[in-house]
Amino acid sequence: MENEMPLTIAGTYKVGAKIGSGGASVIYLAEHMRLGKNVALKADKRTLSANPENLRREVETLKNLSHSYIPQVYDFIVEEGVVYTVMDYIEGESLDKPLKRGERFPQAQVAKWACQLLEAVVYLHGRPPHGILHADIKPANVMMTPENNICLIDFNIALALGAKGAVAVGRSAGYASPEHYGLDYSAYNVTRSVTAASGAGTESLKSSSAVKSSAESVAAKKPIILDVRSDIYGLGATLYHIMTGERPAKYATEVKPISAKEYSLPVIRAIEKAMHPDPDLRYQSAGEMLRDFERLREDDPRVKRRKRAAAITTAALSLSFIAGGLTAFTALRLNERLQGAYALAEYSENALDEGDAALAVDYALQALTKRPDAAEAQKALTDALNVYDLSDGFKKHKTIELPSAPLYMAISPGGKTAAAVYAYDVAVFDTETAEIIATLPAEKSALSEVEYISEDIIIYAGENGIKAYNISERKGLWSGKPATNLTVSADGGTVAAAYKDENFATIYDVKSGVQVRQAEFDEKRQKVVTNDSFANPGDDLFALNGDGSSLGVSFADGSLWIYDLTDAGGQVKILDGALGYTSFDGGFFDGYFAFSASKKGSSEFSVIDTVTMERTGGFESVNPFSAYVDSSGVYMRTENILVNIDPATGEQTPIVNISESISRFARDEEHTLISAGNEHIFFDKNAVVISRYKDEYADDIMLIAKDTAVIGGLNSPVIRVMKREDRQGAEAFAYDPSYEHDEARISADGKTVMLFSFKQFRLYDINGGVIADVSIPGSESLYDQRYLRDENGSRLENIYYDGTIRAYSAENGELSYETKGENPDTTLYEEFFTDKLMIESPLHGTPAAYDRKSGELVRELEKDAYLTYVTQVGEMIITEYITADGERYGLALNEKCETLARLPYLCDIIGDELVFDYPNGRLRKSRLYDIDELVELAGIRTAANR
Amino acid sequence: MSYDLLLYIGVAVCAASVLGAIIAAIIFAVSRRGLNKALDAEYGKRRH
Repeated sequence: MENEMPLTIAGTYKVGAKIGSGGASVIYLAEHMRLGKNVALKADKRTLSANPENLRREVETLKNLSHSYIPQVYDFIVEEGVVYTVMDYIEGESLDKPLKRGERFPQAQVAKWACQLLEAVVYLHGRPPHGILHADIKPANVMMTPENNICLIDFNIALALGAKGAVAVGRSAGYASPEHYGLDYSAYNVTRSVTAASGAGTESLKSSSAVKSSAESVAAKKPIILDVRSDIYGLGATLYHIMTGERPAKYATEVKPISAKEYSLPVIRAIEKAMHPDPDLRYQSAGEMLRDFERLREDDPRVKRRKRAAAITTAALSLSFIAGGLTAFTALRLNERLQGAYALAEYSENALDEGDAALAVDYALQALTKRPDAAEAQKALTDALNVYDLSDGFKKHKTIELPSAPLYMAISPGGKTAAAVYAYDVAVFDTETAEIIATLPAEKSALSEVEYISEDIIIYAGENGIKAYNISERKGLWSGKPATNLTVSADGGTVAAAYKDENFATIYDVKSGVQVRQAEFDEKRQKVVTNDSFANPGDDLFALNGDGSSLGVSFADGSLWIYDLTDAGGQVKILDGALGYTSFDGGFFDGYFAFSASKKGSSEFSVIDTVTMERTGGFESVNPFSAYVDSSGVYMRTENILVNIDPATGEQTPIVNISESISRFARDEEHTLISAGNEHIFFDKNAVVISRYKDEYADDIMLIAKDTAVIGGLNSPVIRVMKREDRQGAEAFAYDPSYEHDEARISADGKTVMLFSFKQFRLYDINGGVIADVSIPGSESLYDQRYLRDENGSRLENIYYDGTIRAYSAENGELSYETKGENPDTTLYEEFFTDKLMIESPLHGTPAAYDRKSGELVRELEKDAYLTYVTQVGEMIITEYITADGERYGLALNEKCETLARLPYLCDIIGDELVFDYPNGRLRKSRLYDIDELVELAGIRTAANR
Repeated sequence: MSYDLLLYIGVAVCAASVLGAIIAAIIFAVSRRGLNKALDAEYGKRRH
């Protein structure tokens, strides 16, 4: 054929040098004579007439192919019986040539070519309708271009795949898949197969020497069917050869494994999988194999390890960050709750200070809800509930807030309601619930007053006139002329009313509201400030006597008169205005009129017999007097003394005598309330203190009736209500409170009570009978006293500086024994021990608690009092103190020495019971409450209050 | 344990995590460079 090769083909292509040949064809370099472009001209050796079908098939297969790594077919020419195919001229050489030269290619290069070949094969296998099988992929059919890319050539035996594959027409040893030989390696079965074909370089299919099977005779005549997996095998074998430099063995099972020392595992795995003898275990598509080659890096064990390490590190750090964040967040939340609990505990304290015990309980409960273990919250609840105050007396109850500060107040005789005049209404409120029952419009003047006729009926300076109002029925009873100042007779039958500085007073019958008469003041007028909108100086005296027949009035000119309101009429001047008095107090009691009159630098108190109108007694002073008269008598206050004065005899009976100056007082038949310094002190009718409170709130108005006290200030809208409580249920013992003592103890057997001090002791039996009254000898030499309760009984030990110890029996008060020991060391401090703590109480300095194991300071204790004793009761620690003023109290602490409760007047602890010694001669007992009991108690009280 | 201490621990763990993440990122970046070089040598440069 070569000798016969024409110079031009189809008048278009000028034939050049031969560039290759295969079994069925010769390939020439040719030039398109018009375009000047080089092409490859393949002259097929098979004549057209000999194999028309094969040639047509090849043309049909190749004519539509267009891919970067597959040569384009441009033309198909038949000339002089020879079939010429015109296609892309691929520069370079086929890979078999460098392989024959002994060259090998690096793995990276092979990987790149693998991808290119696979792209071409994917393209071929994807051609419609069922794909095209190359069927002869081998290095000789792969061109290496000058650009170092490849091109898959020689589609001589390419097959158009049918639905079930294609029939093999040739094979190349080493690159042909086992299917080319009819070998079936699935489940290790191998069958023989036969056909016949030929072609140089491509072996004819012959009978193989495989193991015979029962199917051999049937298979002998069957054509060998190939599919895409055969191309994959060929491709794999090609890659094997160009990478290792070795042509693979003919039979797949004899192929030498690729060394893992020289090549990467992913590459080895891909090639070996492509060359698997069992087609079912090869790549099932070129695309699959291409994906593996494209993912060589990702599939590399080092990359996988690195990714795993990165994932683990990221996960660990993320978890750590989250854990840290959660910890910090938790700490913040817990701290927020704790601070919230502290704030609520403080609110509770403030509410209690202001006098609203119910609100204080509420806040304390909220604090405990936030932090049940917060000592401050528990103390707030204990304080609010006042569980350890077993004294009888007036306790803080509730507060009520008016729209503005009160100007004047009155309390009902039974203390159940009170009325307050503010700008400009009268508010009537229930002292138990602190709720306003009624709001009544008042005369727009700070001079407006309100008075109680009875528990249910008030008279007040209403808008447009004096009014009577029934509180329980919520209705007005009658009204009269405009009024500001009011006074009611002691019998409740008459009310006198004056309006600002008008020169008369109107007298009404309380029941009917009928105006019974008018008392004329002539030219005299009561004292009224220039602007009566805001202030009532309270300097006036305007009072009716018991049956409403006489009216005492002070005037702006400083005079004081008594008006006869009977038919007889008349008036008597009691004080002349020339005396210059500016402030008056007083009223009528029995047949007497008692009053105080003051001016700067001078004051007088006098009692007038209203029958004779003569002065029966009195006195003068540079210090101001303040007279007070009610149905129980005449009282006079000056400086630090409050006395009851018998108007007939002038005899004075002290009610209150204290060290501080009394600024204000209120009283009823049973109790007296005084304001002195920043304290409020309650006395019973025997002048014994029953309650005292430090109180820095304004107390310009103080009222007391039965078991209720009401305190208000002229510059605060908050009115505090106090209620008397009776805790006799906790009483253990009652004694004469006038007996001076420092300590009180109950004997271990509970049969006797000893009150003692350094000077003396008194022994009682538990029923109150005095067993012994003893003056302790040599008391000036006493160092210390101890009340002991042990197996030897109960006794009082007196320890002297010289070491002498005298013990007196708590059974009969007699001297039990006397011993002499070493002198007590007066320089030592005391030490107390609990399970976990050692508490030091120095003679001078602050006591402190230390951890017994580590010796570390746990907490300093009370600074301003002397620690006398420490007792552990369960998990609580009770510390007992005495102040410089001789006040005794205890503190209940938790194991961190945080205060859980204050125990005023604590004198002893017997077992788990606390004993309190009150100034009014009462010993009372209480157990220690745990937090659950306190909460339950709070719940009960809250429900009761509702 | 006081809440302040718990807070400090939490913040310290968070800070350590952040610092650890920065250090790990630097280490991974440096090691990735070396590995990429080796992978390029074995598998060729990435095909785009």
